[in-house]
Amino acid sequence: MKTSKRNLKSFIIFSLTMISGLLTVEIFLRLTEISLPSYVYDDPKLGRTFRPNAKIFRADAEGFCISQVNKYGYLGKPYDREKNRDSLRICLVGDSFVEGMQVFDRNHFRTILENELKQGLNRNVEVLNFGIGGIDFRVMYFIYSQRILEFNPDIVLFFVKDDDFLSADVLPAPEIIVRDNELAIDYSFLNNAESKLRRTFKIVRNFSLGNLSKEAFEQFYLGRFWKIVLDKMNFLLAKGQKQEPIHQPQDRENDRYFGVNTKIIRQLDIDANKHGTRNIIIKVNSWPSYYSDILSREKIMVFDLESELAHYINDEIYFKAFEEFGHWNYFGHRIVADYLAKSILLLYDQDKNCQKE
Amino acid sequence: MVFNSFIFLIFLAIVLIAYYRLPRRYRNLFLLLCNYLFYIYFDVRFASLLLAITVIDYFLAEKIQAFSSYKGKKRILIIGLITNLLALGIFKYFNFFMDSFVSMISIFGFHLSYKALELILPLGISFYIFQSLTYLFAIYLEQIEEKYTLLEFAVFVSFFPTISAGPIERASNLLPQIRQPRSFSSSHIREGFILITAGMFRKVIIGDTAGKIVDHVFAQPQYFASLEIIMGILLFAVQIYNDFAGYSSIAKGVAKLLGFEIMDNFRQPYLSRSILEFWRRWHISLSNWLKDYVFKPLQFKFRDYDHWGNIISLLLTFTLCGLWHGARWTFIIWGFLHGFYMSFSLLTANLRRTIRQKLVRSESLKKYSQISITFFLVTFSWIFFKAESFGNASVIFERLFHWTSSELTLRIVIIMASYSLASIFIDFIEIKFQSQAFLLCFSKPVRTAIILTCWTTIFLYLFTYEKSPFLYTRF
Repeated sequence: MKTSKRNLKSFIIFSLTMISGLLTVEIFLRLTEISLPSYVYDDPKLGRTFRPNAKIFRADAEGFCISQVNKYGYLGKPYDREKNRDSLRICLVGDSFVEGMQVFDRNHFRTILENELKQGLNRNVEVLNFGIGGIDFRVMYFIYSQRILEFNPDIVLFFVKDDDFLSADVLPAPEIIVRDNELAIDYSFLNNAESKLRRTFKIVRNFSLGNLSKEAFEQFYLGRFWKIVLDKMNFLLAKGQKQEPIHQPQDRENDRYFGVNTKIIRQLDIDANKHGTRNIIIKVNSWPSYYSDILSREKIMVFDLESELAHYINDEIYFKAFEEFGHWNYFGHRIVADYLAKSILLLYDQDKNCQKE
Repeated sequence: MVFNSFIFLIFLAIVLIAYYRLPRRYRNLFLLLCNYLFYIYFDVRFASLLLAITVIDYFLAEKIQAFSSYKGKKRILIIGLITNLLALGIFKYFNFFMDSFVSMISIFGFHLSYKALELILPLGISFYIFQSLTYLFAIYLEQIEEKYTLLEFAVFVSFFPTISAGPIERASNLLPQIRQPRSFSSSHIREGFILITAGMFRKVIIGDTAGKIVDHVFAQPQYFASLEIIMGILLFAVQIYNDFAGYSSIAKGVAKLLGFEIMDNFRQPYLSRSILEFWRRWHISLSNWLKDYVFKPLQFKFRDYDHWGNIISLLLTFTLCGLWHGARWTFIIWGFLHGFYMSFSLLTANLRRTIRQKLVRSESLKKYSQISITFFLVTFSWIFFKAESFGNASVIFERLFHWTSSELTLRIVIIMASYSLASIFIDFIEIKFQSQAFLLCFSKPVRTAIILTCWTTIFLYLFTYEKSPFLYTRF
């Protein structure tokens, strides 16, 4: 009897200390921002979305960024949905390159572009960053149609890389498909395994410790467990395990998204006329040539950022993450901003000249 | 293999089981094998130099012991010093000195070119060479009279808990323990495990996470506002302390598990009231080594110069201390700065005491102001320690003196305060319980819960992020 009472007392003390310990760690992680509650969540209607007002802290091999999602759920300065008539409003949409969580917002090309255009055009310019990591061209269009248009942009810049056209997006998100020769949204993602897993972690990710657990679990989920545990000795288990190279189709026949991408490109042209926006595609790196043909046919404006970046060596414009080059570094952001500002200013000069004529 | 990895924890568990199952007479041989296994895991090439230094120093020590004349002993000691320092010089400093020499003579219009040696810096070279030298000194000064076998000496030089970043153990402390039979003790295991837990928490959760910010701020300071630069500097003070104190605590814990008692390397240094006290509490094994084998002989040499003799000795010792840390001018400046602080405090001791007595009446105010000033001076000097070059350091100073505001002021202040408080809190507990293994003072359920919480966080972090090497393993 005495022993069981003592054991119960020990158990209660143990549990209380454990709870207090975990709470202390949670507070410490939040205050030091080592790990914060997740700044993204999986919205059943919008897919992976930024949590409004969520704090962002990233410091890894590639870069360092302390930031915050604004109250409207995009990155950078918060601009209201209603636009001042005298302002020029530009919306950016793209993947992690546009999200740019490797630099502070003041060094992001969004801010530099905004400042350069303000000076160049002598009017108020607002640049809104709708970039979010891991999305492809179809999700970009989804964000454009479901969120960006609400903000009445004058110009929308789509930052597209080769894999944005070619590969399926890795995130569970609503998918743009062609149904009855029209663009439609497919919500079947809600039934896939990853989406279910993310929903399981939904509450957990609201805690710093929970988010850290989720990140750790992700390593396990991605099959990196033994590599992390065994380090150099991983060869003992890795024998015979060969990673298949990801095959990217480079021909039109095998490109399963060619149809939907073409439809989106056409729709962008239609939407531009309908909403009075200027939709511009920024070519970040090489696409298969058949996409260039479609773009020129559909009269969608393309800014060739790839040619501009080709003037620099990788070391100059990209962060080096371990052995590979990652995202744009500080100088990279500056180059991108300068190029975009120059191109947009040229566009406005051409417009002025047309009006004069 | 680094302490903050799963593979090390697996290695340690296997070593411990095998070690205590083996008959006592085989334990040293087994330990030697483990030492070399641990060491070659980093790079197999490192082992040859370690082996060479071990054999050379052992036979030189034998020679010193064999000589009866003082002159003969001294000659062999000098040969030993030259051999060890030459190895250190070639592997660690050759390119640095050649670069500096070529740059210097180019000022006078001479242009020389040389082929830089493509050498890899063997891990822990500065530590094990200094540790091995303590044996030569101890034999020379007749602090050790017993004769040790090559096996025992090899275990001492390559002792895996201390080889990569110290503490620099004295032969007179560790060798007798290597000779003694060691038996399994559950209290040692408990204490060792607690020391490893505390060290891992310090290293992985405080040091490494602070280091992530520090590395970016110091790599490209031109992109950061003044307050962010201050955060980088302050967090470096937090990082280096928790990284190194964490390492020392793990080393002490691992040694304890194996039945060894190694020295304390840290005693809450940021709570020091003067630079002199700081060096009595920071990297104690190195500062004692330098005091005994550099400062004291220099002080003796310059004994006729009174105060100035001490000052010259201090400046030289600390400049050497800077150079010991790495082949870079910024390290030398860092060391010189500490020598300057010490000399200045020596010269102005009386004046400062008078001012203090007149201006500050409250004892606690005096104490905290002294701690703050010392911390400020130490943190200021870290700028040179961390900066890769003068150019880098000058950008940091430029950003500090031309104040630019940050839009993230509140968050940055909170981050700085949280890291500092966490670090101070651990120090405070250590002082209160007068032990690094303070968890032993708690009841079993409390202790178990705290340990479990710590390891949960450590494992999660180790799984999620790339492990960072210990800062001092680079030296």
